[in-house]
Amino acid sequence: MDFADLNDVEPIPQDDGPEPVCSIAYSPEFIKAYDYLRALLKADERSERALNLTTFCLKLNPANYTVWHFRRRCLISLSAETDQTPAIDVERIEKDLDFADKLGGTNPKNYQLWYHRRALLEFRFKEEGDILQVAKKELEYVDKILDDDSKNYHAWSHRQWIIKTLNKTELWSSEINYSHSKVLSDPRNNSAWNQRWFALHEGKISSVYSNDRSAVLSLEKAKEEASYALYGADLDPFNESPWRYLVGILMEQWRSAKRGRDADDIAKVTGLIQENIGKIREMKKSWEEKRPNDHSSGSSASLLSALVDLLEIFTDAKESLTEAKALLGKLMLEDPVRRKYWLKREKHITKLLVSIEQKENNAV
Amino acid sequence: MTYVALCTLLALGDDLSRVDRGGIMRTLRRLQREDGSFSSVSSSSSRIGTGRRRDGAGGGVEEEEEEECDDDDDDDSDLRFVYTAAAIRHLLLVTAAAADDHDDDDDDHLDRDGPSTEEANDEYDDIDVSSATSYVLSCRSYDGALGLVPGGEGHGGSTFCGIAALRLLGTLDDALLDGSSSSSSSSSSYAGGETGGGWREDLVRWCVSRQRSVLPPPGKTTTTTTTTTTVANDDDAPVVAPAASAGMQGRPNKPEDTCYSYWIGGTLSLLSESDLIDRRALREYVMSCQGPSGGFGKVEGATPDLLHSFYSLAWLALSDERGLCDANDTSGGDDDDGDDEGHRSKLIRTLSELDCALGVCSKRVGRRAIG
Repeated sequence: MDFADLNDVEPIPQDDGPEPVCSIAYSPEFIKAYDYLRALLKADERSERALNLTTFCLKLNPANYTVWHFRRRCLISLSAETDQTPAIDVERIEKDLDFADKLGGTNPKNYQLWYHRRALLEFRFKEEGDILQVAKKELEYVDKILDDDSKNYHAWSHRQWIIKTLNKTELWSSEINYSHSKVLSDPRNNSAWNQRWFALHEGKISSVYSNDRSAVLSLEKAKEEASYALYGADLDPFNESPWRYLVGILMEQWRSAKRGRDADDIAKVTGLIQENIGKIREMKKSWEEKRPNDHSSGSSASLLSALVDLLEIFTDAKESLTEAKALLGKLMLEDPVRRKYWLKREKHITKLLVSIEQKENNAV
Repeated sequence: MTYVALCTLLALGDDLSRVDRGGIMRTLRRLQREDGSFSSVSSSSSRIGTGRRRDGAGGGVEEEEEEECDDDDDDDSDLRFVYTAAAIRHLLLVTAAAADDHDDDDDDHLDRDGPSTEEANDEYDDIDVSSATSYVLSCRSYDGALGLVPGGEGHGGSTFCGIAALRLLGTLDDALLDGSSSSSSSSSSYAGGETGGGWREDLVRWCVSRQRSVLPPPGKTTTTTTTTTTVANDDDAPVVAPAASAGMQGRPNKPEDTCYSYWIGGTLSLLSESDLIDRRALREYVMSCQGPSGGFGKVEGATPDLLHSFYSLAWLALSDERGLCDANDTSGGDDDDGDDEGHRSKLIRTLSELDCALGVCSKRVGRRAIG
């Protein structure tokens, strides 16, 4: 970098204190660049040369959030004034998205880079033009990143941010399709399952736990999703993701119905859960028949664990609980790393069974 | 950075008396957003917000009115920063309070959880604990874990951040009851109850499931399932084959990484459920990540780095609760000389006690460990 246009600037050295410990061995170029940057920061000079300097500084350290912030201030200042609201020219936004992409190549997990894209897009989404097109282009960009690393957390979060910010029906539904395509290419991609949940619920929060009934799926939809989950599980029952998705879907229905206290709703949801318990039993049987000598472990633990969770919903049903208890015994042997956990669950069920028996005795 | 600075000062034995507590608390309060989360950077303090503009070299200076502090919202605001805010607040209000009251034998200052808002407000601005708690809870995923932001996939790092934040804010116990019936009622289902189970159970299950599977010892599984081989009690439980190694993953179907021993192991500690994992196997995994010249890498064979070294040691320190070598484990003596296993256990026991929620040595915080 040519520092010629900074000749009038008095560089400010980094203050490492009187007795530096674990000093970083910066290159002379790094030191020079950052010494100048400190000076421009102090003067709060938001000029073209300041912007250029941040470009250089960020190439040296793309994680320096102070420099990113200053860069954005420069971009705003250098852009045309529009009433009093800060804005960044569209051309500058495009250029910076490109800059971030280039830096992002070797840094796909850099928080500051992903945030910079969001900051730019926030401005972009306020501008004229086909915002949906801009969003789709960005989603394509993220898809490229996911091609390299299908579970990149930042990438999936970024997709969520775009879709939630624009809140367009088209984007919500296309994201369901996108998640599906990712599940198909790797059913073990837990991020893809999570994205499906996100898209279906249109970003409404933690419907499994909250009291927000508007967030809960319709019974019909839940039925479809349960089938989808079982379809995913059948591809590989040892895969935890579809099982937890299934349990999530059913628990959301159950808890919502119980909170609502409508007997009819509760009955319908009970039916749905029982239906799925039946299907899981079938699946279990069929897999055991296929591989009677295979107890490579932890494997079917996902199936067994889901089945136990569902059976245990019915706290008054002796048969269900007895079945669950037996399954937990199996889990203790087949999934020994979690033996103590399964034992605790088993003890709890034993208590429930004792309690049922006491009630029966009292009734006699 | 403020959290790191405070922890560093404590680690170096400083009593934080020179720290501008009021200033930091005011900043924390200002950084808190409407949804309860926290902006991560306070830009106004870096003097970029004075509104002055200058053209190229030597141009005239135009003084504009001071800009509003919208600058504060120019960075991420996810669960990491609820955690750092909660930790900073705890260090300043509780540690400081404990340090101030030298003659105070009253254990109230050594509460497990942070000070109440009323207590904090007496001297300093306080954050909105209730909305911070709500934000954490809004990050719950359908599988019981916490995502980094609402809607985010459940992840070990964010789960720890959220749970530790709630512990430090003093709202964890109430939050865990959210949505479940009283756990003391024997007629309630573990996963059932009034609303069909609770978050606490789901969270524990999720955490416990993050430990990679271990093959069962040969001959221990039966092909018949008509009778169960239910274990009568823990003492008689079959022992996992010696030296079985099982690390923690950060999310379902992801590879193990030693730092998750802390994120997941730590979360379970905070929930008082760390007994439920196979600590021995986890320890084996963590130790396998130790490099030939010392330090820990993320996986076996990886170059050691500071982050993985810290979190490996942090979990090893936590893992020594009540002694890592259970009385029930028959492999490897406790104090056998020349026995690698016993020797290793001894070394682990020499690690300082860690305050799990804060991530600093308990003795540096001057109070009983949290979690």
